[in-house]
Amino acid sequence: MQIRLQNVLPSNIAEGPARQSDVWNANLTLQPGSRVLVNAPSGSGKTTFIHLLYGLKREFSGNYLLDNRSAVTMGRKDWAELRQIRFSVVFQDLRLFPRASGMENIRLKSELRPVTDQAGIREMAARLGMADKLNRPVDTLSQGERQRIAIIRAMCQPFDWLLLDEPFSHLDEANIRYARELMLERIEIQKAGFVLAGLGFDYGFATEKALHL
Amino acid sequence: MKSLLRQIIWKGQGRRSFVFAGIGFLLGLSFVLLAVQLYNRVYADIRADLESGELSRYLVLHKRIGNAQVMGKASANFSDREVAEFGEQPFILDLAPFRGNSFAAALTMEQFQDMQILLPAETVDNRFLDTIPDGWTWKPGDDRIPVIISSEFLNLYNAVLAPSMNYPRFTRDFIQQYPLEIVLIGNGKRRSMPIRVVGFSDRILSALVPAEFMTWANQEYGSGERGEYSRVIARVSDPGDPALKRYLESKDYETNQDALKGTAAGALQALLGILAFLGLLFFALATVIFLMAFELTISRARQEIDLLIQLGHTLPSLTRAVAGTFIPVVLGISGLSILLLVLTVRVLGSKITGQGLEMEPGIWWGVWVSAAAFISLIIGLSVWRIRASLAALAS
Repeated sequence: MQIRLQNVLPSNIAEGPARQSDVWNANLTLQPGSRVLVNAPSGSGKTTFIHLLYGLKREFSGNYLLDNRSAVTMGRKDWAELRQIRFSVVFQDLRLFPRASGMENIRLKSELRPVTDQAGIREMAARLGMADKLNRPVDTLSQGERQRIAIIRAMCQPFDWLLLDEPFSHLDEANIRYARELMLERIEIQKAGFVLAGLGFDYGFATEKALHL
Repeated sequence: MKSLLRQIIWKGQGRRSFVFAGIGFLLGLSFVLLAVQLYNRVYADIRADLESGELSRYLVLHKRIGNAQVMGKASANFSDREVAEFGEQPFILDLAPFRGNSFAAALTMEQFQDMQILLPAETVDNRFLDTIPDGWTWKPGDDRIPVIISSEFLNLYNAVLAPSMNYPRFTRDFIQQYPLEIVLIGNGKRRSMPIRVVGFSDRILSALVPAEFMTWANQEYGSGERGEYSRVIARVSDPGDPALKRYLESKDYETNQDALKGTAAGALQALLGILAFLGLLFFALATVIFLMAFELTISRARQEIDLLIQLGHTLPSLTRAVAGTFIPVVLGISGLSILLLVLTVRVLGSKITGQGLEMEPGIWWGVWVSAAAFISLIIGLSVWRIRASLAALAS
């Protein structure tokens, strides 16, 4: 699925000081399967960009097109389908159900359009060192453990684009490596692209394109 | 997935409102269905009997005597026109005037020459008699006059007049054999004529004589036929009919007030009305509580629902998750309500049969239709409210 942004400027960005950007008020096309890094310091709109792509940020000027179809005119049903099979996301703030277990959090996403069963989920959890913590309520897990649950959840659905908003902020190097390997494997299987919003480094993802906000 | 969604949305939510609403729904549905069942199985039968005249009653009516009548400014009698208008009312099955005597008449006995009891003699069409006794005919020249006396008149005589005046008491059989006489006085003439009690009436309180005798005697001893009537007798389908009461009130006509007291049909109609009203009230309250409870549940689970939508869940699947347990609960309560109805109908059936009334067994098909309508209504309204609340949240 091709992503195009034509002179897009979110309302919260427009209110700030004007500056040169590869994304805002510019023509940007992301071809299917692209590997994109978004570089910017904190507070410069990375999360806004990810949310805009995922359809959560609706207040902006300009055109946002998905396969040449305006995303603005898409309804709730369209966006539900896009989030089920086109976009998968790891939110910066994770957005997990705190009182549900890790497994329940993952199943709430994976069972919408299953690409793996519970055994597959356990295998992914084992690779990220979470096998024995899957059944614990999320609010009893550490921030790093929660981040790994959010990453597994994003891997358990079909997607054309994986949107990653500072996905490794609470992981150590070893866990970053395990998570990256899992992600790249799933991206390869699904022939998908990704947009990685970080603080200036690509965590070894070998991105093809870097965008500055 | 459904149970997982339900768990996410319903976790930590209070159930008390739903319990109250469920009890209200059970009571409301039970009352309404019982009212529908009884309306069809009991009340409709009674109404049909009333309309066919099977349960009709006779009323004897007169005009209320007020100052205008006392002072002669208004007639205390019914005119032909008033009789005709009264007879045309929808609650009247049949109506006829009494023709009274325009002469003085008294009852005497041969052995008790000093005994003279004023006799209010009247005549009415034969169709209003309880039964037409043998010998109920008279023509000028006949010696003996057949008379039907009121059972109450005989009771009054035996209980009050006879002991106070030292007159003999009479049994029904005895008085029919006893030689009695009627004294006719008027137009300067006086004549004693033998009478024979041929029957008794529970319906009419005066002494009835054949129409031919009344015509003859009014001409011979009175001022002829007056063309107006002090009393009328009416056969009504339902003495408790409010329309009848209103008409009598508006015309200043009176009858024995006990006769106008509510009938079984009226009492049952009132009971069914109260039952249906309470049922609908409970149903409406239960529906409102359900709708508010759903709205509150959705509002409390706002963050969870918002996140579910962000993850790609659709409104229909979320609606099913919120309403999912509700529909089986409503169906369960409805089943319980119908079970209660069946038991109630069975108990009522035996009680009613004991009272000499009939009640067809089984549940009327209209009850099933009503139950389906009420269940559909509460489910439909709830699902609509849930969808609307979720849509408002999603937007």
